[in-house]
Amino acid sequence: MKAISDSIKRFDFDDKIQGKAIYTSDYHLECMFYAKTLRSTVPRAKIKNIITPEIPQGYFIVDHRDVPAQNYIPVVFDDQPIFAVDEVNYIGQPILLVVGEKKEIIQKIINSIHIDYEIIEPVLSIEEAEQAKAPYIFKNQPYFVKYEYSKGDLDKCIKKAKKVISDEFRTGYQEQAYLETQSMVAKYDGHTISVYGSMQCPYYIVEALKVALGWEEDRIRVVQMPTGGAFGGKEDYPSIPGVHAALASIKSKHPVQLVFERQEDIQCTTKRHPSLITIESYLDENGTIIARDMYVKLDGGAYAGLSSVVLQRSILSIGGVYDIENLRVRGTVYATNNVVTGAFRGFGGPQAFFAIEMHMENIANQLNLDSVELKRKYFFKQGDLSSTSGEFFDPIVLNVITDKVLKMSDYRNKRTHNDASKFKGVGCSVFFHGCGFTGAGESDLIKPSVRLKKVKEEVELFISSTEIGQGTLTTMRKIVAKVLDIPVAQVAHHYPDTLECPDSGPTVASRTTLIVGRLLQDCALKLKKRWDEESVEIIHHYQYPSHLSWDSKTFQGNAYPDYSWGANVVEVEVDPDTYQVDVKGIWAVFDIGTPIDRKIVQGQIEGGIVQGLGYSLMEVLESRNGKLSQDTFTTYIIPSSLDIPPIMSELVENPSTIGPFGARGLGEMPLVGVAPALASAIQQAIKCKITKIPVIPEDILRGIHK
Amino acid sequence: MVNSFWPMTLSEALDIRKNHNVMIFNGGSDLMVKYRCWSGISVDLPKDILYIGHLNELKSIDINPSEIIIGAAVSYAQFLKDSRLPIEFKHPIEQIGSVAIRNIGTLVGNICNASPAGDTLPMLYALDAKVVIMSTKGQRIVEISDFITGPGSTQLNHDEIVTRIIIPRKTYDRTFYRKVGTRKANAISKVSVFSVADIKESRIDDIRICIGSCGPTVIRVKKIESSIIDLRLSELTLDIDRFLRMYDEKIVPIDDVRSTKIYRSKVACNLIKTFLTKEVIL
Repeated sequence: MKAISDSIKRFDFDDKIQGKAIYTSDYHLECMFYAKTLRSTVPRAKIKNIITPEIPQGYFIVDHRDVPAQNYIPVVFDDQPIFAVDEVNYIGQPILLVVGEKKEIIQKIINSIHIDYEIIEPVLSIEEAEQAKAPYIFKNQPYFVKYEYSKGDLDKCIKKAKKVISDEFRTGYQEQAYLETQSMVAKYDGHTISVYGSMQCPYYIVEALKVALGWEEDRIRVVQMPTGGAFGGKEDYPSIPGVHAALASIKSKHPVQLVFERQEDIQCTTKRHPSLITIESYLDENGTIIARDMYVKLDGGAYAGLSSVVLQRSILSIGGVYDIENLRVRGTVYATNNVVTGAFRGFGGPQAFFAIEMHMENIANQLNLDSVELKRKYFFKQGDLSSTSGEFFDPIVLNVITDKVLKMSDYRNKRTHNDASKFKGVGCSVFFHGCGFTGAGESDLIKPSVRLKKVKEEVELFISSTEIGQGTLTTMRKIVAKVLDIPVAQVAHHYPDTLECPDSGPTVASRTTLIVGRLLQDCALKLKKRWDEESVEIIHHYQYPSHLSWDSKTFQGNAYPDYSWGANVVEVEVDPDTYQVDVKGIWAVFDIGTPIDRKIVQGQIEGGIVQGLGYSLMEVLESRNGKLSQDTFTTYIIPSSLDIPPIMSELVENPSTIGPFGARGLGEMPLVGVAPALASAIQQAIKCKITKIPVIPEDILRGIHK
Repeated sequence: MVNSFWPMTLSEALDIRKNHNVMIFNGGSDLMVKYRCWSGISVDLPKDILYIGHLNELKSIDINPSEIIIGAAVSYAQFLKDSRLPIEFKHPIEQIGSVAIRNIGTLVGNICNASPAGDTLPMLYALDAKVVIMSTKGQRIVEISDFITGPGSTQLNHDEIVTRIIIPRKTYDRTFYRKVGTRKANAISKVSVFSVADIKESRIDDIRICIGSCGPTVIRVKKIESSIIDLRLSELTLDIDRFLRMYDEKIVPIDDVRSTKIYRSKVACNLIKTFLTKEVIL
């Protein structure tokens, strides 16, 4: 490794490619039992009675009565029970587990349990939630949270404005579609409970176990197993199967494996939030945008989960990359009896950027301007104040990014010499991703630490950040090795085990390289000074940068510690017979500061773009009466390799002052900008407005023949 | 628990079929999905199983001057690999499922599953394929359009096995196939059209248009076909909209999880129009 960006072979490569990696469902402990979850089949009801058959010797029912301490999953609010007690609020909500040695018998017991429900009228959409009356799903209100913030003086601008341009956009659910379903194995040894599984955030599960069991942390151990994809779906959700498996092991006194079936996983784990977004832009007599009023509404499902944080990112992204002086931004996440929505790569960003970018496109169309040039007029630059009036301290190179993506894709030529009879189109989006936790969350909530241990010439790094395919096991080693100027093979790093690893925070929010990588860099610098000592151990804690500030009540200040920036161009051709969209190419340019490993970066970019393509074009997921209609991979359609167009990506190197070696966050951003670029391209091809994603052929037909 | 029968010959299989209430397991690509259950426990089959996919007697593709005869255990992959078969007949097959499905799935299985979205069916209807059905009593041969009676239902009796498909051997001046799936591969079709035509001296000598996924079974309207046959190409050009309206009336699809009624009928008509204007009339 000459430079930090030079690619090296991934440390998880051989295990995964050769099929040697032991995933949770491969993990068979001696005398291991299996567990299966009995779930609600109705969206909202009181449980009147549960009639169970006679349970054979060696088989167990585990339900809310087996929770020794508190029956809730700690996320932001404590509203979601571990097991339903006397009411259910969504289809798929866990009621009890059946545990035992033989799957056939467990299945038979599950099939013969009968639940008497007294149905309550469910709330099944954002619109229904807006009209909902008591009894409410959440406290005494139809929503989980609502926020509002502003900048400048919207009311004054409304009076002054000569033109108003309004839009309404809708986005659908999205399923993470990780290859490995939710999987946990728990083992109770009479004193300590150990939970092994597929996860992003080991310490979230530790926290959930502390709440459920009422035990001290020294009796709780959580270990990440090799994980077959996560994408946010294994951020908060694994706390539920993690606690379930633990309770089952404690009760049965056997190790217990709890692995979800695919249909079960799609039906009952967290999804991306559906949204309904309105934007009004106020223009003066010169056609300059002087103010904006924006409202983001999300369907949070039955329990709060991470919805409040997702909504924050959504309303902090909805302003886009544009410096507009007067803003009002509102957001509400509603409680419904649909599946619980939660974390998913982009975390509220993809909905917001679809809306703001399409809105800019529509303004340009109305003013008869080129949309890229219109956007350029308002691009943020260094020293500007963000929508929350936080100063952008680092250079922002949106013009460089945009010029580069336009040139690579031959955008101008394709956009202007468009043969209307051919149903061809090209679209461009410009976007950012705020890296790390909202505001001062790193210091106020997470307080991450990392640990380095040196014995003779060998160094081992300890963090709770997980390897979920994004390269943690490789990039973190590179950072430490580079600082210490030792071969990367001399640095050991294993899947996190909370017995050994300090809490370096969850593996979310594009924060691992930026925040944890920087902590390791600083920790390694300390270690370097003591390199002469035979054995050293250093724990290093996070400190919030002194030039940043955030007020979480008023949403004022630096919304994120750092930002990554990007632009996409998508070219399409729509089939005039079948209205199918053929994506000809996707071009992407990103400013992620210094890439820590170019190959891993390319993987993140291409994977994110493909997931964004699925989100915008084919991943239809709809709730009908509270049940997801597309709950298998036959009906829930993700792109196949034939659906993936050529992807051309480049980086603009603009080193960060926050991240290690100048790196910024990357994991989520490649997904964020695909939908608006694609929808703009389709809009040009078919000459009608796209207001909803995914854009499916059925909608294109409807649009063309309106 | 169910019993499994693994016969060594077709006649043994026919005996088992006669004497036991069994379900035929050929490639298993539909059955294993339909009756799947918790991974780690065996599939939840409702009846005893008779395996036939291994029988050599059913594994050949025979071609004589008048017929192509495809055995019940011929997989899609085997069909695709056979260089004697016309490339036009391979287009629908090469778009079925994934490599794994094409290795295990069979044309006869696709017929007996009788899904409205069965990918081989529009072609087999268009080619006037016949189904050979055997039992211990002998054999009968029926038109595929008579064999399939509705979604998932056929006229196969409890003691019978479909052993072969017979496709009359004939070349066509024009063939056309479009599958409209939910993505480019490994997708169930929302609409599909397979059509053939013969043109002699600027006159339509034969035409067959079959539409899949737009009704309980494949749609083939012989009445419309016979009113097109014998027309001059110039006459067809003038009358094309009338024929399309006739097809539009006959195509009555449904809304389901994959698509909508409106989309299906519009796309089916578009594809028929494209076939007629770009392939037949030129």
